[in-house]
Parts: sequence; C-alpha cells; structure tokens
Amino acid sequence: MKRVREEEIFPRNPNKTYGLMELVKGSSTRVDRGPDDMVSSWPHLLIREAALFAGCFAIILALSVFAPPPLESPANPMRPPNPAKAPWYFLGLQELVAYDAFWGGLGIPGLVVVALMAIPYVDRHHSGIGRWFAKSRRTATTLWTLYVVVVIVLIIIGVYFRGPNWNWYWPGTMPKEVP
Amino acid sequence: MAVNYDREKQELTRRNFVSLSGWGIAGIATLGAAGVFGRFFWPNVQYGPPSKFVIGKASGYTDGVKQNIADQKVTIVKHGSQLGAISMVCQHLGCTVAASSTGFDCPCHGSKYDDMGNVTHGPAQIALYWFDISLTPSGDLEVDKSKKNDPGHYYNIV
Amino acid sequence: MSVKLVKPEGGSAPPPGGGGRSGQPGLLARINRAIYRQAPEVWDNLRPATLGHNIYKSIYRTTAFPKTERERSEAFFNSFLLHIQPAKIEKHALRFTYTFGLGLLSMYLFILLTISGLLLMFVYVPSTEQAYDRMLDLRSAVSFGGVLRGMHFWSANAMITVVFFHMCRVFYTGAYKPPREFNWVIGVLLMVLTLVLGFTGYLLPWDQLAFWAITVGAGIAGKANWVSDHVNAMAPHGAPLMPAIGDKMRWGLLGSDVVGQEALIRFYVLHVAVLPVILTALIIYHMWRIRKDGGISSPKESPE
Ligand code: HEM
Ligand code: FES
Repeated sequence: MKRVREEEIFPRNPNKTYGLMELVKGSSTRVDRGPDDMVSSWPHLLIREAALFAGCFAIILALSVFAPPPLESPANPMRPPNPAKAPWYFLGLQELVAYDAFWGGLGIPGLVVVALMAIPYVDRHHSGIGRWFAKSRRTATTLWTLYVVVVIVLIIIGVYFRGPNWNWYWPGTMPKEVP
Repeated sequence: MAVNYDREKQELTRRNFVSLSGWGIAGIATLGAAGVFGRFFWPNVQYGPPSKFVIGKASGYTDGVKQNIADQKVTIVKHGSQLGAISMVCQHLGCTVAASSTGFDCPCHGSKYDDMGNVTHGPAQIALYWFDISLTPSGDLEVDKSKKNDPGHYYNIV
Repeated sequence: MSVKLVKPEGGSAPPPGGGGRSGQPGLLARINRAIYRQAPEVWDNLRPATLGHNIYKSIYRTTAFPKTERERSEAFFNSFLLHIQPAKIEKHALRFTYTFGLGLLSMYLFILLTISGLLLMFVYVPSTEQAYDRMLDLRSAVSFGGVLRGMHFWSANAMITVVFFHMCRVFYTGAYKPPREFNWVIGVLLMVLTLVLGFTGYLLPWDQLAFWAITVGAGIAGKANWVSDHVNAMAPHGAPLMPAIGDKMRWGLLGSDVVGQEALIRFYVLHVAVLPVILTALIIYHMWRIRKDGGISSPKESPE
C-alpha cells in the first residue's frame, strides 16, 4: 500500500537508471535550512563573479598604464645600494633580520607558519562561525588583530623609517640613497 | 592507519602486519629516491667563479693602505712584512661591505667592523674572514677564497 | 567564392540570390537545386542557423539564456567551468560584506599573473647578460610590453595583499573551524607559496633591487647553520659532525656561492614552472574542498 503512494509522489522516470528510494531522517547542515535561503547561482552568483573580475581587471590595467613598475640600474655585485631593501612584503622580515639573522629570518617565520597551521586544531569551539567578530570569540579576534598589527607595523617601519645603514629616520628626514 | 590494527583483538594481525610492511617499504623507497635525485641540485662541478685568484707581487702593496680588489670582494692589507686578504662579504647576510675610516661598514643592515674585520656593531656576529695567501711558482701571490680563517691570519712576506 | 545554399521553394519559384535575371533561374541557382535534390538532409544540416545551433549543442547542452529554475541549475551542472560551484547557493554566501570577494579576487589575480607572465616569457631571457636589456626592451621596443610588465607587477603585489586579507576574513569569521580545518592549512601553504613566488620573481629583472634582495634572502637561508652548529655543539666528542646545513641550503638555492647565472636559472625555473604548477594544483584542491566541506561557512552552522 505504502509503496503505491510513494510512486505517485515520486514517479519513476523510465529514462533514468536511478530513482528516489527512500527518505531518511537525519541531522546534517542542511536540516532546518528553509528553501527560501537558497537562490539560483545563475544568475545571482555568476553576475557577482563577473562584476568582480571586471573590476579587478580594470583596476590592474589602470595601474599598469598609469603607474609603471620600477626598474633600477643593472645589477652590480660590487656595490650594494644603501639601504638595500627587499620587496615591501618582506621588509617586516628584513626588520627582524636586522636584530638577529637566524631568529628573524628563519626561526620566527617558521614558528609563525607552524602556529598558523595549528590554529584550527587548537581553536575548535563550535561557535561564531559565519559572523564577523562574533562576541563569543573575543579572545581569538583580539589575538589575531595583534598579529596583524605587528605584521603591518614591521612592514611600515621597514618601508618608511629605515634609511642608509638601516638606521632609523623619521619620514621627511630620510636622506637620498648614499652612493 | 587504523586498518592495520585489529580493534577487537587489540593486536596486529598477520595480514595487517604484511600491509604495514608494504607501506613502510614503499615509503622508504620513495624517500630514498627523493634523496638520491635531490643530489641533482648539488652537482660536483661548480659553475660559479673560481675560488683562487692572483694578486700580483707583495711589493705592489703599501703599508697600512686597504687595497680593494672589487671584483673579488677582497681587501688586501699590508702590515710591515705581513700581508692579509680580508673578505668584504658581510657576515650578517652577505652584502658587500665598504671600507671606511674605522674599518668596514655594511650598508644593508648596519653592521660595522674594525680594521681587522672584528665586529664592532651588530647585527653581524662573527668577524670578516681572512683568506689564505700563498706563493705561486711564477712568484705571484694567490688568494684562495675557499680557505677561511679568523682575523690576523697573515702571510709572511719572504 | 561562396555558394549560397537555399532550399528551392515549391517547384518553379526562383531561389533568392540565384544571381539570374528575373523570371529565369540563374546557373548557380540551377546547380544549387540539382545538388539539393541529391541529398536534401545534408544541405539542411549545413544551413548556417542549423549548423551553428548543432555545434553549440554539441559543446554545451543547455540554453545560453536559461530562464526556468531547472534550466538555471542545468547551466551550472553542464558547464565544465561552472560545475565546481553549486547550482543553488545560500543568500548569506552572496553578501559582499561577508567575503568581500577576497578569495575569488586572489584567484583572479593569479589568473592575470599567469596570462601576463606567459606573454612576458616570449621576451624575457634568463641570462645575466640579457635579462636587464630585455626589461628595457619591454619598456621601449615591445608593443604594450610596459603595460604587460605592469600588469604582472601590480597583480603580484595585489595578490599578496589580497591573500593576506582573505586569510584575515577567514579568521575573523571563524571559517577555519571544523569541518574546514584542513582547507585553512591548505590556505597557509597557498600564502607561503605566493610569497615564495614573489621572492623568486624579484630576481628576474636583474637590477640592483633584484640582486641585493636575493643576496640577502639567500644569506637568510645560510643562517640555518644555527641548527647544525647547535647539534654539533651537543654531540658527544668524536661523533660524526652534521654538515653546515645552512651553507648547503644556500648553495642549493643559488647553485653557486654567489648570486649569478646559476641562481638566475634556478629562480627562473622555480618562478615560471615549478611554483605556478604547485599553486594551481593547490588552488583547485582548495576550491574542491570548499564544496566538500559543505560550501562556504554560514552563521546557521553554530550559535553566536
Ligand atoms: C592563492 C591564494 C588563495 C586563493 C586563490 C583562495 C581562494 C578561495 C576562495 C575563492 C574561497 C571562497 C570564499 C571567498 O571568496 O572568500 C576561499 C575560501 C576559503 N579560504 Fe581561501 N584562497 C587562498 C588563500 C587562502 C589562505 C591564505 C587561507 C588561510 C590561511 C585560506 C583559507 C580559506 C578557507 C578556510 C576558506 C573557507 C571559508 C568559508 O567557508 O567561509 N585561503 N578561498
Ligand atoms: S648583510 Fe651586512 S648587515 Fe646585513
């Protein structure tokens, strides 16, 4: 009796080698998620992705046309420029390296990478997922902000406050490169 | 690798032992192969510049003057009847130091060395190398940059 | 020469475009009709509209303008590029202020880098004698060479920034928590690889910045001597000594004791082949895992 009713609700499609066999109860992430929360990826996702690409491409193109990349004089193994700076994203590291070469260049960065990878295995508390700055995660949020601030401050020091001989200069007092 | 362990019997079954050995052997073989082929990157021939170069006769050098041989990154110093070849590669991270009135200064992260190459200001921690100097059959002197020594490693002019 | 194939209407009406005088079918039109009678279905298949439609359908089985929900889902299932994404998506995941599109932006920038980089490879020569001149040529002698180099430069700098911000977004939204732990680990690898790509690419112009940045960078690798020095200091007297591991690493990176031709070729191969391939593979894996981990994170997964 029951089977007959099921077939009425889910009629067999003769073109398919599979069919709906059974409905089961269960708790998965989809449970309690009303159909109203979902929209078609076409066009809602697609249009956003396309717009993002257009914007990204436009900005990069504009920068390339109006702000060409630098090119210094050809490499001269005899004469390092003073100061000799790495690309900006490594200047935080270079700042550390100026204190201690091993710990600044290998020890601390290595530990940071390991620590980053360990985060999701340490902080597994099931709360605050999917929300920015969830209240229950205040400690985590604070610690991360601290990390970000340190990274950015180190880079800013390296870029704007270090001059010839890696000495400290206030912006504006920075001498031109020493020959 | 839970399959290798019979949870009910709490022991390694024969089948699982064989399986475990198989994985182990495959792992060791892979590591070995990687190690062997890794040697590819450390060939037995050096393509870089040779480590030895000729600096002429001792008579060409003046007492107390730092004579910079720029393309070799070496400075020759003469003190009386002694000759020294000091490396100009900074012991911090390898920039080229410049001779100054107090010794040698590094432009990259501010290390300073005295006239003998000893560190007077960090971040460098060890002194500049002094290289071996030897006499060639032609009577010229030759510096060997692969022979690194502490400061004060002089060659006695005969 | 083009013969316009038209189905002759009725029996005697002259086909349009036959080129004949009025009333009398032209020679071309008569040939056309004769051929048509031989194999009508073949000629039907070659009509531009039919041919176009059939080629399109052979490649892509869904309408290009899906209207019904079903067609819209099929548009995603049936497309190679789109099928890695879900056909239906939670509204929350679409909110710009949730992700700021940062992950996608990282991927877009990587694509721009790949395309501009491939084009640059047609001009660049990894030789200490030529590299710098090729950079000058790009600026002055190659059409749009400067713009291409600019795109590569700006995309690289932007990618490093954007990847870092993406990592921050993932952290602040708790999106690394189970079941997404491993995708975070993959993410950290992506971040590191992105930085290494930047480092290896920096040497290639062979200018002063390039040379000294890599000299110092390789010097840092040499500092791994710290490890072998400490091991050797602790080893019992007479035990075999561990080789100076930092010197080995530095030499392996540069292929020599100094930054020169050997270093340039090593960095070049890493930059244009090894690292991009690894990064591509990891990005694909990163995307696949997003699907397998239940899509992008959502506030419905956990309490506040
Ligand atoms: C080459 C660099 C990277 C690319 C191309 C990339 C791409 C993406 C994309 C497209 C998404 C979808 C959501 C969004 O757009 O935000 C995503 C999500 C994610 N990414 Fe990345 N990513 C990169 C680096 C990273 C890094 C550095 C991390 C962290 C260390 C990371 C961890 C994650 C995680 C955990 C998710 C899931 C987030 C969620 O479910 O809300 N990714 N990534
Ligand atoms: S390389 Fe000389 S101080 Fe860093």
